[in-house]
Amino acid sequence: MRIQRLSFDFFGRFTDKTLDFGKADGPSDFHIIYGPNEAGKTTAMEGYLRLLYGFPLREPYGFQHQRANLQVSGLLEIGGHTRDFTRLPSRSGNLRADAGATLPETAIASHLGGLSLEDYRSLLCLDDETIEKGGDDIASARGDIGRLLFSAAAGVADLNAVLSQAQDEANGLYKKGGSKNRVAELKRQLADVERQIKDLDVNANMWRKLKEALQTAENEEAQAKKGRDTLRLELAQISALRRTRPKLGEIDRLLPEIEGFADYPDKLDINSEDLVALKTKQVTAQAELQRLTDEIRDARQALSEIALDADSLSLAQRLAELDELRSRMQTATLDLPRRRATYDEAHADMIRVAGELGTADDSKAANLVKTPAEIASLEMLRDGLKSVITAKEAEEREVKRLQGRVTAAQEEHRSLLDNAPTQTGFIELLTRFDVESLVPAAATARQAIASSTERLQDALAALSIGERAFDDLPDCPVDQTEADELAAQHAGLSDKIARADETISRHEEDVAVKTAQIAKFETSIGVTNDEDAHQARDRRDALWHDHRATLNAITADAFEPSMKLVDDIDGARLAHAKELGKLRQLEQALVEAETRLATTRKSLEGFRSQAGAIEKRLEELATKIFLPSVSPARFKDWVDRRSLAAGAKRNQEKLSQHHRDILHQAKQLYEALLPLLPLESPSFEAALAAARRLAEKERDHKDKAYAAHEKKMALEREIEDRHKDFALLEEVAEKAVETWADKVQELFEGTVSSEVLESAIGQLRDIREHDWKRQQAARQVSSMESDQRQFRDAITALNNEFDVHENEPLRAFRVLENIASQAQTDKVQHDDLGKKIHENQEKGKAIEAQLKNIELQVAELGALFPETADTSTLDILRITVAKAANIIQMRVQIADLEKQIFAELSALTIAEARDMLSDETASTLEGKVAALEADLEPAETRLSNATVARANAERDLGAVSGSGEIAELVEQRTTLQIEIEDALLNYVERDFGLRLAEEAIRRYRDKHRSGMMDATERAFFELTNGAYQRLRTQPDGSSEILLAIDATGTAKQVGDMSKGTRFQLYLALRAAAYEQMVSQGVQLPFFCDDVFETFDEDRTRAACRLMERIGRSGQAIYLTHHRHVVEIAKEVCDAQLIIHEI
Amino acid sequence: MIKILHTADVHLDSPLRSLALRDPDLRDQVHTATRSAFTRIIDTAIAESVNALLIAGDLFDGAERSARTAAYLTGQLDRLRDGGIRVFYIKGNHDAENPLTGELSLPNNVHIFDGRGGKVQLSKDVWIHGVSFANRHAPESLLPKFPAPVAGAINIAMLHTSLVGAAGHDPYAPCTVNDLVAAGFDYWALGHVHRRQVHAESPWVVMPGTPQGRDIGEPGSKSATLLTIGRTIEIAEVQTSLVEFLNVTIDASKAENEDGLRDLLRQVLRETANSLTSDSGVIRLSLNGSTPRRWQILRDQDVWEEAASQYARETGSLWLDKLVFNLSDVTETGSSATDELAAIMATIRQEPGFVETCRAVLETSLAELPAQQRGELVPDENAMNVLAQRLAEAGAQRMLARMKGASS
Repeated sequence: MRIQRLSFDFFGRFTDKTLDFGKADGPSDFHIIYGPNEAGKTTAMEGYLRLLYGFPLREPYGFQHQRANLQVSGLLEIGGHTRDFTRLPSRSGNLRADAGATLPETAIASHLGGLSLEDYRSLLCLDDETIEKGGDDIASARGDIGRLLFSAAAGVADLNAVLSQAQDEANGLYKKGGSKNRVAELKRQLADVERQIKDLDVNANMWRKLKEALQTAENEEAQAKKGRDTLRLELAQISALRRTRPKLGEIDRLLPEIEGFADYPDKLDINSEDLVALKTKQVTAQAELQRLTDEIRDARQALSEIALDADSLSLAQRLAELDELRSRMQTATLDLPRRRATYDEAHADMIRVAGELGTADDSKAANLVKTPAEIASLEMLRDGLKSVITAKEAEEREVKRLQGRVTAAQEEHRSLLDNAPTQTGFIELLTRFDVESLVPAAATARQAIASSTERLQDALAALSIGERAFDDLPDCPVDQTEADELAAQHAGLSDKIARADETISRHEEDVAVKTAQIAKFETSIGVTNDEDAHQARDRRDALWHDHRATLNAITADAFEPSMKLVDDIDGARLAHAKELGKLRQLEQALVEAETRLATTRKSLEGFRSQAGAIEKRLEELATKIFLPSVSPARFKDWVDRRSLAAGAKRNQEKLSQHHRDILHQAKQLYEALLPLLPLESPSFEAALAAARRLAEKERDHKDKAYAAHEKKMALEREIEDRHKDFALLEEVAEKAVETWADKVQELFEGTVSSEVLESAIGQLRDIREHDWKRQQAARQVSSMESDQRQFRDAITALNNEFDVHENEPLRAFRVLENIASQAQTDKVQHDDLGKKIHENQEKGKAIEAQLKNIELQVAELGALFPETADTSTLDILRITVAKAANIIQMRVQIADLEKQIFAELSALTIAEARDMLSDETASTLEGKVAALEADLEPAETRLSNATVARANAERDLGAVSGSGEIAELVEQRTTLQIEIEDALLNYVERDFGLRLAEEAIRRYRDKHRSGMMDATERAFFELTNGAYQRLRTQPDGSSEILLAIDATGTAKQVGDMSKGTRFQLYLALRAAAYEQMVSQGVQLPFFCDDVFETFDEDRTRAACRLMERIGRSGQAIYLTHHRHVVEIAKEVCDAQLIIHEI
Repeated sequence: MIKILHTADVHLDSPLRSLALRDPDLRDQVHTATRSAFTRIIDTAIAESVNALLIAGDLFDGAERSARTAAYLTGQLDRLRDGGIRVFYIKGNHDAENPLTGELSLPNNVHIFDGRGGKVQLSKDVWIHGVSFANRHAPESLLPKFPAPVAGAINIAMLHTSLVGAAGHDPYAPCTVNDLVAAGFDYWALGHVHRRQVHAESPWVVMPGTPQGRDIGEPGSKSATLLTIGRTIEIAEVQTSLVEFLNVTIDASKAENEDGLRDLLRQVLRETANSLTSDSGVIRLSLNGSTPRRWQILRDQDVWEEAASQYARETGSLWLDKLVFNLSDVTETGSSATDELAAIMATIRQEPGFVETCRAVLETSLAELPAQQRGELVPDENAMNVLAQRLAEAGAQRMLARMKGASS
């Protein structure tokens, strides 16, 4: 495939941009696209890829035109034909033919050698990124170099990753002896499940045994339990008697204690502790009441001692109002002397500045204070005055300088006029003859005439025949047509003669053959020929005639032999009738052949005589022009050549005529020049050159003189203008001085002189500044003095009111403050005491209520007891309550003991219980218990053993339930086995696949690698200008490393090379891959986007040659913004290089 | 009216065999499926108030010998006893080889025919006849051992038989359908063959099939047969299988691209799920037909298998056993590097050295399997070679798919 034209209709920054690569007619199809940065070189490469592969969904080149409007088209050469393609950004049917018809994607795709977009980009569209990335894949993978070389060529960039991923997956499934693969993991699970089955499962026989064992254990347990329970019952009964005995004794002890207190209550809601708390509460309340009463009395006393004064209370407010004034007073006391000093300083400064301005009188200093407007107007006037004077002085200097230049210009002009060269008249002469058009016209004319003369000579030379040659055009008695006709007639006749000769010899041969055949027939038949037969018949008829006339024996005898002869002849002839027929035919044919021969001979004679006539005519003609005798064909040729010569002669004459005037003029010019030149018979050209030089010199001097004159005149005009300007300026300056002096007089009335002021306007500002300070200080002093007066008056009034004897106002203020403060304190104390009295009265009332409540409770409790009991006071009540509590507790104790005895002995009355224990003593009971306990221990042991045995048997049997546990485990085991089988087969499949792939790749590599390596090596050698001689691979473990051998024989790895060299290696790899693709019949345009940037000049040169070589087998396109690369490419490429600028 | 339920080949506690059971969700749903199917038979018997349950052999599996199986069986038969339902049982070849059979003490509602044969009266007009397998092999016909049918009554005969059998398999109590038809019984309750088949209708000769298929070799829904005996005998199928195995083929050439194929998978699985008779289905999907995306599909076969598995789960009732790729390419062989590699691989596969290596690798790898499993997978030399060839081809396709796929 080849690009003939690319059009970026709407793409990136391009609109209707076309790159025309034209037809590939040179030896190399190498193009350079040159353009500055940002011109769109990369855009062009990307646009090309869009044409081939379509627009991506996210199109980075849709920034100027919207993605939906993008369009790229091109004229591509595919298989010797050109086709127009247009690519649109629509989702489907985006490839169009020139007429807009939708094309299938395969229309382009099937010619791309199976390269995907990414492959194309990394293999054939190289820029800084793709060249490095594809190359790094090779260098960093450290895999089998051959494989990677192959990968790069085949476009399967990630083959290494594919293999290693497949290997990892296979290892993940199974590895003999490994423990971290799927199979090993599954086998572990399987072993686990099998172990569980083994642990849990039982068969039917064991199950039956388990059931029997359980039955036995249950029986044993039942018996053991029965024995033990009997013993336990007995022991319980004896133990109950043992426990009951002391309880009965206790009842007997308690009964006398409660005798006589039967009417005490059965239940009390309080105990004596509660009464203690009540007592404490009563005492506390009484003490508190006393304390409150004392406090109220003290407070009333204090209250009566405090006297309140309304005036003193309002004093604080009045002092607060005066406080502002007081603080100003205080400040003024410190500030006043400073302000006064400031005033004096400002005044002194004013006097000093006035002195500087030349005014000694102090009183007039104030007159020097002027408004800013006045000062500004003075300043403006002064500045105006100064600039006018400066301008005037500058003008004066300029006039002087100009005067010098005028003098110089006048002198130069004079000197040029004096030294003028002599006038030769060449200029006029050359102009008159219009040399510029005459000379080339004359040269052309001479050249034209010379070449036409030469052509005439050649044509005349071509007319020579034998000895005869021609110096001039000979006359010709015949024209071309007639010569042609004669030649044609003669050729026709010659042809006819030849054919007739041929016919004659054929006829002669025919006649001879037939004659011979007839002779042969006659001999073979041996029959009398017709003539003889005729004669015999005539003789017989004659003899018959004789015989008939006579009818005798003699005539008969005479007649008989002749009759017999005729009969014999007839008989023989009859026998040979067929041969005779044939003979007759032959004889007929012979006659025909002879006739044809005669006719042809006659025709031949005719032709010969016609040809002879033509030859004779020609000989006559030739003689007329003194030509030797020639054949009609040659004569015709000569006539043709003569006609050409005639044309040449006409042409020559026409040109001579045409150029006659020009040549005549040239000659006149030459003759006019000759006498004027200091040369001895020069050629026309030499004469003309000399004349031109001289004319040039003259013209040069004239120009100089004219220029000097112009300059002089200009300067004279200028100086005149300058003089006028200067006069004007002088006038203005005088007027400005006058205005200034008037203004000074007006403002200062002679106090200050204008001369002094001219350089002292700043002092006016200073004096104004000092005056302002002085006035400000005066204002502050007066304000402070007024504040002091007001404060003092206010204090004096207060002193009188509150009877204070302190004259210094600030100190008097502080005394007054103390008075106000005391009044406030008294007021607060007074209010607090009133509040406290009220509160204590309230509290006292609450405590009295509390005491009353306690008395009420005591009375209520006393009512619970019989009248014999004393409950008069709280203390006595407490003793009675304690006693009652004790009695209640003893009653409960007795009831409790009785209840216990009834429960233990299952007796209904206490009498019944006494009965049951009547025969027993503590020791008899003790003995019985000991005996029973001794019997119980082995019984318990037996039972517990039996229970354990039964529980175990139950558990064992329970494990053999109908549950699906084992069935589930078996299912799991089956699934695991299938999984293992599946994983193993999967592994084997992958393993086989890997073995096949590796072996296939090895074979593929062996088949392709040497070619690739050689091609890469060649290209790398070429690119590095022989710095690297060879490439080789070195085994490294199971893989290989690519090494480049430099000129000294040192091996270098890719990582050790400079970026430029590395790029050259990567470029070499692509060139080799390109070569391989071409050998496989895939030819695609090869793009490089400024990848030579890092190459030195020599290697750039080599790289250009490499690109040119690629262009010889395909199409190579280099994009660059380096002018020097373009120059180098132009220089090194043998074939014509095509440069496109964008 | 008498009702009888007829089943056979229960193979109690014989496990299901499918990779789909890797999925714990499926395991939870279909664990001990043979039990569940048997439980369903018992449930049906009780619900339909049948008079008897006929078990025509292979109640047990030859290999599963846990006492728990017996315990479970006893429990279920007890349920029938409680319902007043009698059970008639003849031993099949698997029962005969299973020691559990001898250790059983079954409830008194169960009648086990012995190897000598016999008959039992079920009701006034119905007699049940039967002969058990005495050993695991019964190369001769068991027909002569049957007592003569009782005149004037309905005679039902129970026989475990492979009938005329299949070439290459041992004969089990061989006999022909004609022999059975001619024997004078009204209903032949057969067992042994796992696929249901009604061989004759007058008299009935019925092979009920297994109540629960156990692997992809026993596909489809499974059932027991319910007899209703009035004037004549009517039969009906009672669906029993909890889970059924399914083989489904998908024509991938119908799908234009991967999305289309995914849609197709989903659609087929949904349709299959809707037409499912059992509660769950374990499905083996085959992708057939030709598609230009073949290499990509083969490259991503793990992804596709996971996707199909996911889609199956989404139906709520289907689980994927396996996804089989039988795809062919639409395009002609090209001239790219991978095409050349494909040709080289094809050549290498035929080379004796490679074939030998493959065999060795396969043998070493299969040594990881238990002997029995290995024997089932590769019974002989030829099977080993065929398997090695198949795996080599599949392996090559897989690698090629990746190489081709790597660039697209």
